Amino acid sequence: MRSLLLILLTAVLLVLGSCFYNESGIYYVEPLPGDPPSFSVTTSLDTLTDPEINDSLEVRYEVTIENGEFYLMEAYLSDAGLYYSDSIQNSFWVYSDDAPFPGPDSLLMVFYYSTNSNSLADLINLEANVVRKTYGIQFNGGNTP
Amino acid sequence: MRKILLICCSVLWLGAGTTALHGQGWGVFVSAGMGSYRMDEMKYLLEAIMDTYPVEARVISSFPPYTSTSAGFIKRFYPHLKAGAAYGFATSGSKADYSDYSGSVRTTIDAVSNKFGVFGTYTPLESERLEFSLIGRVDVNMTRMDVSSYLVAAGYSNGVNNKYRSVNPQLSAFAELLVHFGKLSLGVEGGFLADVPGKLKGTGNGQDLTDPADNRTILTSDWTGWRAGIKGILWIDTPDR
Repeated sequence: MRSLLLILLTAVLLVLGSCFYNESGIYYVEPLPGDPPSFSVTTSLDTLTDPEINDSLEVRYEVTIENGEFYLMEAYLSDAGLYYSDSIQNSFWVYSDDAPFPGPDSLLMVFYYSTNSNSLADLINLEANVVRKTYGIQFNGGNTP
Repeated sequence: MRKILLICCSVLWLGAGTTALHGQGWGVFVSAGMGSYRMDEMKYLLEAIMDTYPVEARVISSFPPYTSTSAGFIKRFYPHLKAGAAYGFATSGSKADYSDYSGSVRTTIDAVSNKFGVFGTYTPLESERLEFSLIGRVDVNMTRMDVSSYLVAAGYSNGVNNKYRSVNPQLSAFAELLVHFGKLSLGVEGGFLADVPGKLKGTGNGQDLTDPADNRTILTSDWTGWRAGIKGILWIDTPDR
């Protein structure tokens, strides 16, 4: 009798896991992309060659986009973050003490804008196309005395 | 019609002259099967949550028939009357999902029912081998409802998980057909369960689960539906043998 009860209990324990509702199915979708965005950007550095910074320099940028949305711009100086914009096109300043040493340096501007792919990440503004622009800059002052 | 009448007469004949062919005292039983669950308001909740998605998701499942089990003890008091107490377990759930190459968003609702109750069994037909019974059962049901929504996309993830409970009475009526093998009786049972919908209250903050469109309306669990399964009784005490 005991062994019979033991077998019953073991059987119950073995099937217990499958008793709980579990749904593993997914609904996978291939999103239909919209028209690809047309993106262009101009900056005030486009017409300058290795501009010199003795005190400060204002960098202006202007974005033109169709079928999409401009998200933000990040600016890096020697791989260090210098400026982060929001979606409003604007300008920012580069100061002579932003560079660790005087001399030539590079300013990297990274522009993010929507893909219009209609994917989940695109619809919640987490998927972006990226355009990079790099400019040479000459620092005459820097942090070194 | 004549065939049905013949079958009925045969069953009655089998049952006739059955005094105490099975004079068992008491036993333990286990039943396992499937149940259908109404859960209208939880189905509505899933649709309402889906409406907040930035994409068009699809309902993968919505409270499909799923596991319904029971275990307990049974005692024979009179030749045709038995009674007992039992624990019951049932589970089901629903899921809405949208997935693409960039990520996924999904909502799952998992419902678990644990209940304890008493029942009475009337056996109008019984023979040496077969037994047909009608069962009425009253339970106190405790529902646990987990509502989870998760979004994962492009390295970003966010989610929320809320747990709710409700306590409510249940009434059920079953019919069972058992075949006796010595101390073991095996058979099938089926019936209908009527659930008094239980208002769902949050386990953490105690806040009610309200209708997204009308926060004065508290949503309820509803396990009402059909049940069917197999059943086994192990007779422990057989004083008449």
